[in-house]
Amino acid sequence: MNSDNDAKHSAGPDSTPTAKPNTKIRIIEDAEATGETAAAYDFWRAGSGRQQVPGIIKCFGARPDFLRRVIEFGNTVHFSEGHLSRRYKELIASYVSYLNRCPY
Amino acid sequence: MLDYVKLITDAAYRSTAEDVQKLRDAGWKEEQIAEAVYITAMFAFFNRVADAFGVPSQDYLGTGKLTP
Repeated sequence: MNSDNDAKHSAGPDSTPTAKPNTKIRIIEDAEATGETAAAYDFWRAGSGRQQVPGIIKCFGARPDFLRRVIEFGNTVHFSEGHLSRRYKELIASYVSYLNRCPY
Repeated sequence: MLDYVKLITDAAYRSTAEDVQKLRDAGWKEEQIAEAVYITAMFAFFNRVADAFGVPSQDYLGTGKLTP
Protein backbone atom coordinates (compact mmCIF):
# COMPACT_ATOMS: atom_id res chain seq x y z
CA MET A 1 0.00 0.00 0.00
CA ASN A 2 2.05 2.99 -1.13
CA SER A 3 -0.78 5.49 -1.49
CA ASP A 4 0.79 7.55 1.31
CA ASN A 5 4.02 7.87 -0.67
CA ASP A 6 2.10 9.11 -3.70
CA ALA A 7 0.64 11.90 -1.62
CA LYS A 8 4.11 12.97 -0.45
CA HIS A 9 5.69 12.83 -3.91
CA SER A 10 2.93 14.82 -5.53
CA ALA A 11 4.00 17.91 -3.54
CA GLY A 12 6.56 18.69 -6.32
CA PRO A 13 8.35 22.02 -6.88
CA ASP A 14 5.16 23.83 -7.85
CA SER A 15 3.17 22.39 -4.95
CA THR A 16 0.14 24.57 -5.61
CA PRO A 17 -3.02 23.20 -3.94
CA THR A 18 -3.29 20.57 -6.67
CA ALA A 19 -1.64 18.13 -4.25
CA LYS A 20 -3.65 14.93 -4.01
CA PRO A 21 -6.61 15.84 -1.79
CA ASN A 22 -7.23 13.26 0.93
CA THR A 23 -10.96 13.43 0.20
CA LYS A 24 -12.87 12.16 -2.82
CA ILE A 25 -14.45 15.56 -3.50
CA ARG A 26 -12.29 18.60 -2.88
CA ILE A 27 -12.93 20.32 0.45
CA ILE A 28 -12.04 23.96 1.11
CA GLU A 29 -9.75 23.73 4.12
CA ASP A 30 -9.76 26.27 6.96
CA ALA A 31 -6.63 28.04 5.67
CA GLU A 32 -7.80 28.16 2.03
CA ALA A 33 -11.28 29.56 2.69
CA THR A 34 -11.94 33.04 1.37
CA GLY A 35 -14.91 35.35 0.99
CA GLU A 36 -18.30 33.92 1.90
CA THR A 37 -16.86 30.50 2.65
CA ALA A 38 -14.43 31.96 5.15
CA ALA A 39 -17.28 33.98 6.67
CA ALA A 40 -19.41 30.84 7.01
CA TYR A 41 -16.53 28.98 8.68
CA ASP A 42 -16.18 31.90 11.10
CA PHE A 43 -19.93 31.67 11.75
CA TRP A 44 -19.37 28.07 12.86
CA ARG A 45 -16.33 29.03 14.99
CA ALA A 46 -18.32 31.76 16.71
CA GLY A 47 -21.14 29.36 17.48
CA SER A 48 -18.99 26.49 18.67
CA GLY A 49 -16.17 28.39 20.32
CA ARG A 50 -13.72 26.08 18.57
CA GLN A 51 -11.07 26.95 15.95
CA GLN A 52 -10.79 23.94 13.67
CA VAL A 53 -13.85 23.48 11.50
CA PRO A 54 -14.96 19.80 11.40
CA GLY A 55 -14.72 17.98 8.07
CA ILE A 56 -18.46 17.45 7.75
CA ILE A 57 -19.09 21.19 7.99
CA LYS A 58 -16.39 21.96 5.40
CA CYS A 59 -18.18 19.63 2.99
CA PHE A 60 -20.68 22.46 2.56
CA GLY A 61 -17.95 25.03 1.82
CA ALA A 62 -19.02 25.21 -1.81
CA ARG A 63 -22.34 26.72 -0.73
CA PRO A 64 -21.65 28.91 2.34
CA ASP A 65 -25.28 30.05 2.45
CA PHE A 66 -26.41 26.44 2.75
CA LEU A 67 -23.57 25.74 5.25
CA ARG A 68 -25.09 28.26 7.67
CA ARG A 69 -28.50 26.55 7.35
CA VAL A 70 -26.88 23.16 8.00
CA ILE A 71 -25.34 24.50 11.22
CA GLU A 72 -28.72 25.81 12.38
CA PHE A 73 -30.33 22.55 11.21
CA GLY A 74 -28.00 20.61 13.48
CA ASN A 75 -28.15 22.97 16.41
CA THR A 76 -31.91 23.25 16.41
CA VAL A 77 -32.72 19.62 17.03
CA HIS A 78 -29.60 17.63 17.61
CA PHE A 79 -27.27 19.70 19.70
CA SER A 80 -29.96 20.59 22.24
CA GLU A 81 -32.21 18.92 24.77
CA GLY A 82 -35.62 18.21 23.29
CA HIS A 83 -38.17 15.48 23.67
CA LEU A 84 -35.21 13.15 23.79
CA SER A 85 -32.12 13.89 25.85
CA ARG A 86 -29.05 14.96 23.94
CA ARG A 87 -27.30 11.79 25.12
CA TYR A 88 -30.03 9.61 23.68
CA LYS A 89 -29.88 11.50 20.40
CA GLU A 90 -26.12 10.93 20.26
CA LEU A 91 -26.83 7.21 20.77
CA ILE A 92 -29.20 7.23 17.80
CA ALA A 93 -26.75 9.29 15.72
CA SER A 94 -23.90 6.87 16.43
CA TYR A 95 -26.02 3.82 15.72
CA VAL A 96 -27.36 5.29 12.47
CA SER A 97 -23.82 6.25 11.39
CA TYR A 98 -22.74 2.66 12.08
CA LEU A 99 -25.69 1.34 10.05
CA ASN A 100 -24.80 3.75 7.24
CA ARG A 101 -21.15 2.63 7.48
CA CYS A 102 -19.95 6.14 8.02
CA PRO A 103 -16.51 6.12 9.72
CA TYR A 104 -16.58 9.86 10.20
CA MET B 1 -36.47 2.16 19.76
CA LEU B 2 -33.20 1.29 18.10
CA ASP B 3 -34.91 -1.50 16.18
CA TYR B 4 -37.30 1.13 14.88
CA VAL B 5 -34.35 3.43 14.08
CA LYS B 6 -32.79 0.61 12.07
CA LEU B 7 -36.05 0.02 10.22
CA ILE B 8 -36.35 3.72 9.35
CA THR B 9 -32.70 3.75 8.26
CA ASP B 10 -32.93 0.62 6.12
CA ALA B 11 -36.51 0.72 4.84
CA ALA B 12 -38.67 3.53 6.14
CA TYR B 13 -41.19 2.74 3.41
CA ARG B 14 -41.82 -0.59 5.15
CA SER B 15 -42.46 0.90 8.59
CA THR B 16 -46.04 0.50 9.81
CA ALA B 17 -48.41 1.99 12.37
CA GLU B 18 -47.94 -1.22 14.38
CA ASP B 19 -44.21 -0.52 14.58
CA VAL B 20 -45.06 2.85 16.10
CA GLN B 21 -47.64 1.34 18.41
CA LYS B 22 -44.95 -0.99 19.79
CA LEU B 23 -42.96 2.09 20.74
CA ARG B 24 -45.93 3.67 22.49
CA ASP B 25 -46.53 0.42 24.35
CA ALA B 26 -42.88 0.51 25.42
CA GLY B 27 -43.54 3.95 26.91
CA TRP B 28 -42.25 6.30 24.22
CA LYS B 29 -44.24 9.51 23.79
CA GLU B 30 -45.40 10.60 20.32
CA GLU B 31 -43.06 13.61 20.19
CA GLN B 32 -40.11 11.44 21.23
CA ILE B 33 -40.84 9.08 18.36
CA ALA B 34 -41.08 12.05 16.01
CA GLU B 35 -37.77 13.48 17.21
CA ALA B 36 -36.08 10.07 16.88
CA VAL B 37 -37.13 10.08 13.22
CA TYR B 38 -35.70 13.58 12.74
CA ILE B 39 -32.33 12.51 14.19
CA THR B 40 -32.30 9.27 12.23
CA ALA B 41 -32.99 11.07 8.96
CA MET B 42 -30.65 13.95 9.81
CA PHE B 43 -27.72 11.58 10.27
CA ALA B 44 -28.61 9.75 7.08
CA PHE B 45 -28.08 13.15 5.47
CA PHE B 46 -24.77 13.82 7.26
CA ASN B 47 -23.54 10.26 6.70
CA ARG B 48 -24.25 10.41 2.97
CA VAL B 49 -22.39 13.69 2.59
CA ALA B 50 -19.43 12.63 4.75
CA ASP B 51 -19.08 9.33 2.87
CA ALA B 52 -19.54 10.91 -0.57
CA PHE B 53 -16.81 13.49 0.19
CA GLY B 54 -14.68 10.83 1.90
CA VAL B 55 -14.09 12.91 5.00
CA PRO B 56 -11.40 11.09 7.01
CA SER B 57 -12.53 9.75 10.37
CA GLN B 58 -11.47 11.92 13.28
CA ASP B 59 -10.31 8.76 15.05
CA TYR B 60 -11.75 9.86 18.38
CA LEU B 61 -11.16 6.38 19.79
CA GLY B 62 -7.52 6.44 18.75
CA THR B 63 -6.77 9.92 19.97
CA GLY B 64 -9.02 9.67 23.01
CA LYS B 65 -10.05 13.31 22.46
CA LEU B 66 -13.56 14.39 21.54
CA THR B 67 -12.59 17.61 19.82
CA PRO B 68 -9.42 18.22 17.75
